[in-house]
Amino acid sequence: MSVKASILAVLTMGACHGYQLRQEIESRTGGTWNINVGQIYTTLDRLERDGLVESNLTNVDGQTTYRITKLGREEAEAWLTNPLTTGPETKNELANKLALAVTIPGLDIAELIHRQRVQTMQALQGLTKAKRESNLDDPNEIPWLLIADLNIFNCEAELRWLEHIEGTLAKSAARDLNPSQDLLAPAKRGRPARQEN
Amino acid sequence: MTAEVLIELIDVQKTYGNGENEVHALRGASLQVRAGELIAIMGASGSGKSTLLTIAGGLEVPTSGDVRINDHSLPTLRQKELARLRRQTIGYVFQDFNLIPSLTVVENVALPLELDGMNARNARRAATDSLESMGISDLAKRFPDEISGGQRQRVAIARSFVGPRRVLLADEPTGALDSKTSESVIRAMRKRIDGGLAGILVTHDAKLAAWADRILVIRDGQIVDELKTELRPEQFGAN
Amino acid sequence: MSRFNESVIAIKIAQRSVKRNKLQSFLIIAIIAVPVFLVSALLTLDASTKSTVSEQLKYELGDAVAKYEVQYSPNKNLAQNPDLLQLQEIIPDGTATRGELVDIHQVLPKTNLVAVTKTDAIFKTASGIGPISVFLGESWNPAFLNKGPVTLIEGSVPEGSNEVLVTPSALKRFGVQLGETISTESGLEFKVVGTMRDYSTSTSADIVFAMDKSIPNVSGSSSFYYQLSGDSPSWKEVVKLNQQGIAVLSRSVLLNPPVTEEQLLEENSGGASLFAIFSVLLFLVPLGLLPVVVLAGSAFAFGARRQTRTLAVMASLGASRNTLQNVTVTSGIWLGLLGGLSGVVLGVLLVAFFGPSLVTRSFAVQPTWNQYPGFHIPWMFLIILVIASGVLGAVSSYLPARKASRVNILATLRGQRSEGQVRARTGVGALVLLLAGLAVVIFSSMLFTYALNMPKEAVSAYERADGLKRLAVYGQLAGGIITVIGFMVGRGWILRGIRAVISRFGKQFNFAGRDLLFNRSRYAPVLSSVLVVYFVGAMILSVSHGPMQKQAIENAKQQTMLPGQYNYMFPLNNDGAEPTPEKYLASIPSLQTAEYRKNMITQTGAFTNAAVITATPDFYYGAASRDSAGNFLESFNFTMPHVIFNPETVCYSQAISSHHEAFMKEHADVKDWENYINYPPGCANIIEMNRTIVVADVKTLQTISNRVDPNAEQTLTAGGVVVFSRVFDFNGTAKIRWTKESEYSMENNFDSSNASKAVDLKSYVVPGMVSESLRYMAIISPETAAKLDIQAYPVAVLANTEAPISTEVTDELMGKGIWFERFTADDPNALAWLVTWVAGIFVLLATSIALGLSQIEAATDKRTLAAIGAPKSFRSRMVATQAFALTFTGAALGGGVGIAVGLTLVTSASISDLVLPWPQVVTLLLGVPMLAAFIFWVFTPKNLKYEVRQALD
Repeated sequence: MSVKASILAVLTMGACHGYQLRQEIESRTGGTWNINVGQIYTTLDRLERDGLVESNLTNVDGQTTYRITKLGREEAEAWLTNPLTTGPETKNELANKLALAVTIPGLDIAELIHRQRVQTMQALQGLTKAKRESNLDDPNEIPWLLIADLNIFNCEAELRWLEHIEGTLAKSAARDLNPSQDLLAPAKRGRPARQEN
Repeated sequence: MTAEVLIELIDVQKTYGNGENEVHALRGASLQVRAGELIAIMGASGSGKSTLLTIAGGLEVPTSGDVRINDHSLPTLRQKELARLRRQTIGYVFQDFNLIPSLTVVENVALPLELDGMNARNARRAATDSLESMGISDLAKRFPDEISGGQRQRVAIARSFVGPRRVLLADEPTGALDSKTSESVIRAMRKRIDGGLAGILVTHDAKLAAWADRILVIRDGQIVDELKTELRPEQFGAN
Repeated sequence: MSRFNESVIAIKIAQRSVKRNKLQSFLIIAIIAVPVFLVSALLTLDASTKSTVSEQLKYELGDAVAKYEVQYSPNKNLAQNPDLLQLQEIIPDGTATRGELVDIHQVLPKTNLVAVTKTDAIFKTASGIGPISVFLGESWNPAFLNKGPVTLIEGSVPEGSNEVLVTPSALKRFGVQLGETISTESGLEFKVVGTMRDYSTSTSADIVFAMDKSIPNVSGSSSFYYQLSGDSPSWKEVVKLNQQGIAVLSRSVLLNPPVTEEQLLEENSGGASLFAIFSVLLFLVPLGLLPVVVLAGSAFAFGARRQTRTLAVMASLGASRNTLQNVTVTSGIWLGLLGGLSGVVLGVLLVAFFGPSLVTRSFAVQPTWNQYPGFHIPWMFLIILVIASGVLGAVSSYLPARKASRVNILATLRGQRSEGQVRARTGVGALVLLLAGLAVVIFSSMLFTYALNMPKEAVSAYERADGLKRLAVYGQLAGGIITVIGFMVGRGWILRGIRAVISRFGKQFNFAGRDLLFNRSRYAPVLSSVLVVYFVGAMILSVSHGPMQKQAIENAKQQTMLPGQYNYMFPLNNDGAEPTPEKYLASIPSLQTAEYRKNMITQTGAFTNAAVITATPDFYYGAASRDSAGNFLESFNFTMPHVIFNPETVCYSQAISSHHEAFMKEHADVKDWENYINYPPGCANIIEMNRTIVVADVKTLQTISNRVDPNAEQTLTAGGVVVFSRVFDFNGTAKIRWTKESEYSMENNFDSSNASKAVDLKSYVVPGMVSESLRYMAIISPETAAKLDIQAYPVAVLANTEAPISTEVTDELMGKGIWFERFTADDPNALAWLVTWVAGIFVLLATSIALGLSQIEAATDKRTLAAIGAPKSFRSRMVATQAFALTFTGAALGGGVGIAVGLTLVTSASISDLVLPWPQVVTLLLGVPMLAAFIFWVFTPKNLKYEVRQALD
């Protein structure tokens, strides 16, 4: 699952400093994802370099606040709303994406799911049609068939899972950022501000 | 030249009960299926997909709207004509197979033809062909209570193929089958359809639905989505 | 594509269905087979009791060419039917006499005749002496022996006139072996050289076959003359011989009967009129068929319901309605044919094995050839019966087939059931029919009463009255049927009622009731079947019992016994000849002698009771006590009690009747009233010179009447008499009058003014206990004689028994010089029980089959119950409750209507009073339902396998 994307997604709700970001991401993905703090700061640097976030003055404790840029916001929305292309890694990413997305108020989860399903279904159709037109008796086709069948089954699994969780996701879990995480409050921990040298 | 429309539902509504107990099973569903085309209908339980199929097959009468099979408007047909349509044109696969226990497998498959007046020998021949296409010709002389559920299902499907039918309506035809057998069944169905039939397939199974040319998603009695098959083989590394 | 192939597949499916559901098919076949079995057995038995020409030739003639019997004095008014050895008057004017019979040897001098004379003689038997039939003549002639008429069983034929053959039962009675001797009472001895069967008698007959003239001085005999050779007489010759008073059975005439119109003399069989036959066919046969049709219809409806899923599948595949109907109707025809065939086969087999026993009603006794000439199969009728069964199957399954062909495919395949609501219109329809039926019955009964009492001035009026009466009877029957149909239409409401009643008894009964109502298409046929069967059975029982009992009582009035008993009268004079005054005087025995005789009789132990009754001498037709010169004997001085006949009770046709004048005026046409002379309206009290028993003491009363009768005893203690006579059927007062014998004559016999002493005694008439012997005017006991101040002396010993006394005992008594006369009376209760048994078995069978079918249909539900853990007791209680409720309700309703109709029939016709055989009614009403409930309780399976539904049905 993309750390970059998650950071951007959280930042759409408001500015955060690094440590806060980590907390938000973890809490909003059910605590199943342990993100390395260092990974967060590294990603933040990269994002800043790419102009997707901007950092602000450090606060009293030397914590840097990051804010999303317009570019960054566009990217975040694109990532959230666009379905993931199918692949083995996609499963976990999709699950986490949806888990995160459902906590963000204002997002139409049903639409998300629908779009994902359409995408997956079309993939399935495509695979099936290819299979229809393949020659089952040709031994050379076997490697391809193996992969194709795996993908087909994965598509099916995903579709079934999507249908399955539809009900679960309908119960809204949307909430705003945790207010106790006052941006301006002294941070307990975190990377000290980069020394402007 | 576009193929002719063999199945057409025009704004079909179906309501059960009255007053407080009214249930709207279908609220204005419309679709068209051409010869050589297979559409799949997917939806949750209670979405109305089975009702759509039974109406298409003439087993139920819509509360309003028209149903046309092979250009015959079903609600206007008399019993006799409807019966003939069932014998000759429509092949229906029920969810619970509905085989006649006192007839052998091959006799069951031959039944629609014999009901239409074909003599037993010819009907038997056509039935055997159909059984072969389903890969169960070795079961010909057995009775329904001597074979497994999956085998019975294939017999029911073979029965729906037999003879010069034009329309195929199938309600969860692979429910009792493992995926390998399901695939061979849908292949056979697809082959038949490619030969010029129009088919509607009601299913939960996405893998199965993927074999259709179009997938319709039905929810709360209405068709809410239509997915066409797009071929993007390069995405998957096909040769 | 053809319709024919459609039928082929329909037939195939029908046949397969029948084979698959073996139990169900068996039950349906059984429903049809049972009545067919009864009918075919009856038909076969009937056919077997009618002889063919060759059988008649065989058994009557053997190898002989003709048989003759001299029956009347020569008279031109005599003729016979070609196949019956009996002369009749052509014009029945009563001129034929038997006074001067011709000698046949003179009429047929050239013909060689073998004579066989049937008479009887007194023989010494193993236990005493007894009268035994004797056939004198060469019965064993080679023309007869083993050629048909007789068969030699053991031994050889007699060669001298001191040798005889006997029947095996006679051998037993004589107590001898072959080669031993028997002798007559008078001392003639004969050696028994063999045993023989004569087919003109049953095997219970004791017969001695002796040579002609081997026993002299026989009287009261009849002789047959057989012509063994030569040409048998032609019909012309027979006619001539008839006029000589000779009846002839001629071989050539039997083989080639003449085709003359005049020869159809009516046989005196009380031939049924054409209308009677027609009405039997029109009414009684449908009445008998009604239960069968209802049962078969419900059975086929059941079969059709079981097939509905198959039919629904076929409909979904596009089977035409005709094809669907074909499936059901075909299985109907198939099952009907099978049922008919098995019923016929069973019926025929029954008669083949048990025919003769059915005729004689005994396994031990074989019938005469005439009673059972041979085992004949009435092929035509049986084939028609089988075909009719097939037709019945088709017809009974037609309606269910139509219903099934309109199957709602989806609803059926989804297994939807009928609603729990009963439609209101069935209730209305039922009510209408019930009221209509009641109205018809009431109206018909009024019509009958009107026809009975309407003034009749001419013969045509009688015929019109008869016609109206018949119409009324049919109306009552029809009314009953309409009412029963009303019940059937309202069966849903009846089931509702049943449910309401039994649900009060607890949870499982509530469940049973709901099941009855919810699945009423399954249970309603049971109700209908029981309704109809009970209607028919109850009606038959109530119509027959009253009249039967009344008739039996009337018959029993002729003798001193209860219906069903045997009565023995042992006269105290030895040879049974008409009593002459001398004999009476000579035989005025002391009571000691009578006591002695009585002891001898009672010592045999064969009598339940015996009473010594004294009697007055017989003055029948003026046989008064006179001396040889014809003078009245002064010494014969005891006064004779004499009874006055009540002119009111004498039949109109008799001159002594007070209605006689009016009657004669009404029937000025002599021929007219002669036709009615035996049965004029209101002539139930025909006076005959009956033996009358008068009792004045309780002990004699109890001995004779064999029962306790408080009213009678009260009369006696109050100083009255009990009179066993129909004659005194008025106002409870008997007029007993004494006259001096010198004043006695036929003319002033009935003139009370001549009474020298008239005594009015309070009397009590005991029904059913009047003796009828032409010998005696009145019989009284010594105690009564003393009380009434009459001189009398013992004349007979009267005894009542439950069963006939064996010849062993009677021979012994006769050996001691005690002769007897025997009388019997029918027991209507025995007959009522027979009807009850037959009806009960039939009802039980029908109910069980119908319930069995419903249980098959309920099998899935029962399995479900078992699978969810319902214990056997729950299930058995449920089915037993249902069985009882259905059977009892059907019995009460159907039986109630049947009894009501039967009783209105009986009372409006004034045939008898309302008499219901209560034990039988209770048995049918309660016993059968309880038995049905018990059977189903016991046969509830302990464990029901829960089968996953393998296939559709």
